[in-house]
Amino acid sequence: MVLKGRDIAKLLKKGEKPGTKDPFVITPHADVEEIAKSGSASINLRLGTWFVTLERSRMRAWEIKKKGEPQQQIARAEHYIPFGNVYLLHPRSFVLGITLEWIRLPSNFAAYVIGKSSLGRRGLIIATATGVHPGFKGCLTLELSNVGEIPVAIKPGMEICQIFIHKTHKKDSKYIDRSQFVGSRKPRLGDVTLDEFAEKLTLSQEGNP
Amino acid sequence: MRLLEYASGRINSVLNEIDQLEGCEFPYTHSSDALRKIKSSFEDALQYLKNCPEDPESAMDLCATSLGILFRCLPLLGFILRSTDVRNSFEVVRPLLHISEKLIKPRTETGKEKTKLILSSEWSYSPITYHEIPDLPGFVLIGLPAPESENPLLIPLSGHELGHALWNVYRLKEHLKPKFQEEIVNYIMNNQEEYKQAFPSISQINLSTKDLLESAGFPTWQHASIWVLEQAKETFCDFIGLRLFGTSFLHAFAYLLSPNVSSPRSVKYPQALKRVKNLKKAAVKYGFDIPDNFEDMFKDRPAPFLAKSEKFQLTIADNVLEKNMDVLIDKAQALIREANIPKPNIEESRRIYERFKLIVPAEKCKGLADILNAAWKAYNDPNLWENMEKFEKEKEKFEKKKERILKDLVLKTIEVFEVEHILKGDA
Repeated sequence: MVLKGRDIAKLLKKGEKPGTKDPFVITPHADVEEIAKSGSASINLRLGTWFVTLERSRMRAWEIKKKGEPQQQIARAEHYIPFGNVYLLHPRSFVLGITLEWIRLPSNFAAYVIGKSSLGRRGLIIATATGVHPGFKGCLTLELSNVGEIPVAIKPGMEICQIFIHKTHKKDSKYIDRSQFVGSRKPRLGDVTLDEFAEKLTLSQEGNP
Repeated sequence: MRLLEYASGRINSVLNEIDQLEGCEFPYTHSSDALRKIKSSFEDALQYLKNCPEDPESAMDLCATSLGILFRCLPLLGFILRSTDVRNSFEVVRPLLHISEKLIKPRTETGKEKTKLILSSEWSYSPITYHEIPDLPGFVLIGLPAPESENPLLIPLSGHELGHALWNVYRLKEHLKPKFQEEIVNYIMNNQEEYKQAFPSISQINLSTKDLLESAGFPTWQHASIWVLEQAKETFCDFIGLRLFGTSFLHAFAYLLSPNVSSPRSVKYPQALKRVKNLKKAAVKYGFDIPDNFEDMFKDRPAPFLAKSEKFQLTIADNVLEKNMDVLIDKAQALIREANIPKPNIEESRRIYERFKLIVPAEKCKGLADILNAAWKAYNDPNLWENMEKFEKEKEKFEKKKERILKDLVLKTIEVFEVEHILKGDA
């Protein structure tokens, strides 16, 4: 079930109350009354102040490592763009951004993050890993790319994407998101390793024609 | 004239360096403003050299004066460069600037200079500030040790560095100097035997206050005067940090400075345990909690290598400082009250801490100090996020993750605080 503005507002209000054990939080957020009145089935999220770009380096290629192997350090640059300043996203360029909002999903809610059509029509795409699992806590990393023809000036604080909240069937606090991305205020690349399944497939064929 | 060519060459090299630095990504304009001001000082120096008279003596003097800027400003350029480092806690800059403006503005505004803040880092294991920089009027420069520049838990120590700016702006040295000198002379008059042992050459003279105050006597307590003023400045700065940030200042102080016995005691600071006792006294007077076992974390440093006469002067400085402790505690309190900066509130920091327990930034915070006090409470809570711990196989890995999450959570709370501040129209 997707929540509508009124339900989201109710949850946010409840989450603000001291003593709530597993609260739903989006902070900073717009006026709760406005969210309730909007009638929309999503809530807009804003662009944060931290960005990460990947840089060309001597590294031949990025490779997925086996579990336990040290991760390759990818050359990257972090940028802090304070409110009132802009980040220029040039055509065919890619940057990791982050939501201004810190989100906490209770253990019986999941979410999807989706771009805003008005930005997409101008070439700004917020892509890929859009699922947010129950129990997630932190800011959401956004993969921003400009597939259009003109540079786009993006500003921290602007509405950049929207989040749809879903209620899951069963509340089970044992099985909540404990990913490496929990509790981050900066965009993070995270570690990527082969899982057991893929590792078996890879190992069995290594050295074979 | 070679001398002029060499001097101009050195200044031109710095100007070329500044041209490179201007291409850096400055998150806040105050760093680039400082760079522009320093550039203009170097350009002025170059201009003086161009207009140098031909006689060699004047040229020598002019070169020496013009090159003074090199030694004054080169460390500042490094400091400004490091202010662009993304490991700095940029979220803290604006809230710290608001505090600096409130504290310093009343005085600097009369000098028509707005308060500007540069937060940076330093490659030495000590927080640092640069004060009384003629090239940068109105600027407050605060640097944390580079490996800790991303650690918001140490932000309370910036209060000590802000204290240095206050000490200068309010000309406290000039205010306190006559009182201290009078007390130094009184001390000597009351301890004449010790004085004569420290200065055997004048042991035959019948001491009088007049003799001591005149040029013949002054060199015998000149160091005591300098040292007590330096000690008073550092002690006052500790009290400013404490009054601004409450118990979190004591935690940050202990984190960074305990126990430090690597080098002998500096005559510019009270002995380590004395400094800790002074802080405890001020904390009681201001109504702040003192962390458990705070004093036990410190040890006195080895005594400095001093001549007998200097040892005696250090004893005088320590005694005069002790007599004036309440004056300094009250002065720090009065300046912060005048600036209308709210006192850290225990209830408020408890509320914020409860949000941290849920891994959620707190909203509607009343001040930076409350956030930092809550941060230390969370940091020192062995049971924080114990539910999360159950799912981590390695204790060490969990501790590392916990620390990263807490730091991000604190900095996000500070950003939310700033966003709310802007939306209210206070910024």
